[in-house]
Amino acid sequence: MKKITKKIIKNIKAFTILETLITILAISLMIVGPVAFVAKSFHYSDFINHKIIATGLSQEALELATSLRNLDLDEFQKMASKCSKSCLIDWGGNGSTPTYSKCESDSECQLFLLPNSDGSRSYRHIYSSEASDFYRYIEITKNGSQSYTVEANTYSYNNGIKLEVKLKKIIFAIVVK
Amino acid sequence: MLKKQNKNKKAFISIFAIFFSAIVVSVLTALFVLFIKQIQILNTDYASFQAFYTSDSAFECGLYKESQISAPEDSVFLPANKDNLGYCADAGDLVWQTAPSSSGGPTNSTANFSLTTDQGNFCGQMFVTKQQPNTEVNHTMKLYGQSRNCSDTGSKVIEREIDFIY
Repeated sequence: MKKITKKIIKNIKAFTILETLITILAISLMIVGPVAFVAKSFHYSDFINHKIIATGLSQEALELATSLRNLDLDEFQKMASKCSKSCLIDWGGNGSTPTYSKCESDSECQLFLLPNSDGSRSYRHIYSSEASDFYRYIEITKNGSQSYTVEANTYSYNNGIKLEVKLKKIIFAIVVK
Repeated sequence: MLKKQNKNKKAFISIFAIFFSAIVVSVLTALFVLFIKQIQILNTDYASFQAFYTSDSAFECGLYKESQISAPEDSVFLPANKDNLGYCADAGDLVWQTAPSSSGGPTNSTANFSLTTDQGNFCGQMFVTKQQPNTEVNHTMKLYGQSRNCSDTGSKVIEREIDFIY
């Protein structure tokens, strides 16, 4: 009886190296795959979030330029002659006229988060303790005598990569009554 | 008997590990593809904004042309003045796709212009229906912004529209 048991134990073979390697590879894939996926997901969601905000900010800049034209054509034309390179455009809220000034570097074109009275926050070109990740400027090119190409450019740096959203619109010198 | 059972157990563990990892990898691949799709949709969203501003530019252009006339019969969207179309944008002139022609009733015309962007050329289109001068009926402008060249007729295009009645 003792002899039989010994023989059975002797016949129990261990895994071969190949089996062990395949199993280790399979288990590694199971662990590395989800971890890499979660890391990529965070990266992409951050990217998507930045792109949505940048698109909204570019859209706002175009609307502000149009709004200035609607409110004061002379001032819009002054802005056009001043902003052939890059200018920031800002707005203080309902009832106020958009303002502009030259901005030529990241620090000058940066947007800051300013708290509103209702608890929300706005992206503004006014310095606050809370700097946003976004930078924005507009460029205006005069086409002929009565039309202007306005390009709004918002960008941010996401993991060292520059993410940029440019929107373009033609604005005509129309007096809006 | 015991030997055979043991051999089957080893094979089961390896096969189970491979199958399980295959399932995990395929699920992850599917999710990854979904993420890539989301990014593509996001780019579509951006093109949609630019298409909207192209149609808005077409609207500005049409409005400017109509606001510069001193009398209703001077409109460039009427057959007599079709040669005065002029420019509209920074890339090329405004071009008639269908010049206005008279047939007694309302005059229909289509003009195109091109807007160059980082994402390629966008096409602005103006469909104008002008009533006979001094009639009480409204004129209409349909302005389109398309995410392609005006000469392209590819199937995939993002289009935004603005309707203007005056």
